[in-house]
Amino acid sequence: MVRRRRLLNDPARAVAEMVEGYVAANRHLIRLDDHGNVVRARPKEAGKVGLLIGNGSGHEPAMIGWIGQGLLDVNVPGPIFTAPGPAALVRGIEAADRGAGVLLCVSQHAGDVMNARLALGEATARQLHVEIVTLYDDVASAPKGRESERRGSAGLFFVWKIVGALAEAGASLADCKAMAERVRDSVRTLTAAFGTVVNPASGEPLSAVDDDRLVIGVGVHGDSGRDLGAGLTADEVAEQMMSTLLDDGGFAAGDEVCVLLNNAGAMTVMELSVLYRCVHNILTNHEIAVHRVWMGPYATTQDLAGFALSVCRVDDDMRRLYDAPATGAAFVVPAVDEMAAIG
Amino acid sequence: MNGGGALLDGDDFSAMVVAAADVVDANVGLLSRLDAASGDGDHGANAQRAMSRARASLDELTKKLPAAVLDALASACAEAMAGASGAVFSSFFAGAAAAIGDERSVDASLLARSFAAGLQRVQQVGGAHVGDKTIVDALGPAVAAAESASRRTADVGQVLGHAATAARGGAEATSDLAASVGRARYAESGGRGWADPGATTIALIFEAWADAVHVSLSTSLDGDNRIDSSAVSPWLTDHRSTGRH
Repeated sequence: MVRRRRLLNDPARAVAEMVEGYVAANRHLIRLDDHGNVVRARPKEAGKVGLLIGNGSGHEPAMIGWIGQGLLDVNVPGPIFTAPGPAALVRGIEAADRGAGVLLCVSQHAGDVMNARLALGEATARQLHVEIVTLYDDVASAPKGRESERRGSAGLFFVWKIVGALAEAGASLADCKAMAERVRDSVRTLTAAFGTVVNPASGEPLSAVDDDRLVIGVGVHGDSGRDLGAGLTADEVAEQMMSTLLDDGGFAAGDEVCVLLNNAGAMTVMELSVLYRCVHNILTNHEIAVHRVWMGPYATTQDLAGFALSVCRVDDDMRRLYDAPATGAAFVVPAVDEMAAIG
Repeated sequence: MNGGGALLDGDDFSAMVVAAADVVDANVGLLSRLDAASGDGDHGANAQRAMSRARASLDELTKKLPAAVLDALASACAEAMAGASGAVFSSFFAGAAAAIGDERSVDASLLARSFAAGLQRVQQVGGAHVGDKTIVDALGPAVAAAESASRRTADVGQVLGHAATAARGGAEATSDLAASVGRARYAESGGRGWADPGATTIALIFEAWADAVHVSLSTSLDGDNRIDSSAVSPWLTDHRSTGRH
């Protein structure tokens, strides 16, 4: 059953009203500037690299919930499932600039890439110091060996967390970009979903998929994938997905990984936990150590009954940055002494 | 219109923007249905938002030169349509504006060259070719038809008419194609059986432009330079039936 009805006011104003409400609810962390950018309530210190992302709305808490200390500086929310235009991105770049350059993070989708390129041209003409980093992780969107053609998906959260900590520590723009690419190349993600969702503005379904059928390889808009049919168990699904991920990423005994089990909207904690139980056992059997696990709604597609499974190989640098404190509306990592206290 | 259908000035371009906004308003439902088959069903609303903003921004122009009007249209597409469509639509109009430069009026030859420059910029930004089921499938034939017509006639109305017919033909042919760039859809074979929504919008805009210039010609010149009406395909055809197999 696809839920068609949305409790909104004017659908054409839904994004603006959502941002206004979300910012008001989290005003200790974020605010809305005069240009419609979501920015930190207390800007990053001058002389540090600014981190910016623009994205289509409808995936909340991505990315408005990821603005804050140890995370990103500015989010430019676009229309529903539609990347923001170049002028909006340039205003975002200006807002993120703290005098050490800005890294414009791009989750690889046609609209995001094209608008980022147009924005880069305009920002460079205005003497702004900005670099683009193109990010992708979805193994279903292009075969092994053609990784650079893949789409961006939920696994990019490892990038936001790790590069967010690096920029906060005062690293250069070149180092931040290099780290973003290093994390990107260490992450592999697969998604799976039952059915589809409606576009909240139009009320129309994004695709015609039967609810009973689980499709693996769904993009962040609920598009394209391999139909696995009905009746598979959680363990069977987890085993299939992990087998693809471990093979594609070349994960092997002795590796240490972080895992993300992202709720795309309407999965239950029960389902995700049962899935993770299997993922954990598979990693243990392969003698792959698990550093930390996130399980929850980090990047949604409205109320899609689906999830993303991401595995990220971490080294000492990445692990340290990964554990550094972070405070966003949708994601908090407590300071190290508190972590020690809770084990 | 001045000079026997040979030139388009800034007011003509403004009238073309208004005509394009009207035709998109009248076809929002169609464009969204086409997008639902191959995208996420919001192209009609996004195009309408962009064209409305373009129409409104005409009042803010201090100098209504042809390029300024096209640049206003480009900005409206970039920011209000946004996404991949906004990037390619704005690139077409901005590329055309750059080719026109400071000219106060545009003749048939410059019009055709400006369209070619717009198409070139679209392909630089989006990387699509004819056959990829994108707006290039309408723009490619439209530019070729405009260039060919501009070598035979100095009448801008005829150039637009031929471009419109070719754009419509190209847009309708996309229903035989499966998407090879952009969001590939889970729905059977990348939207095959349905015309590309962006290419359809381009066809609608060219048809509205041809009609607007046609009307302008027939009212100001008593029909002397009326273009062959068969060159302008009516935009109110039922594209749903032509799009289906």
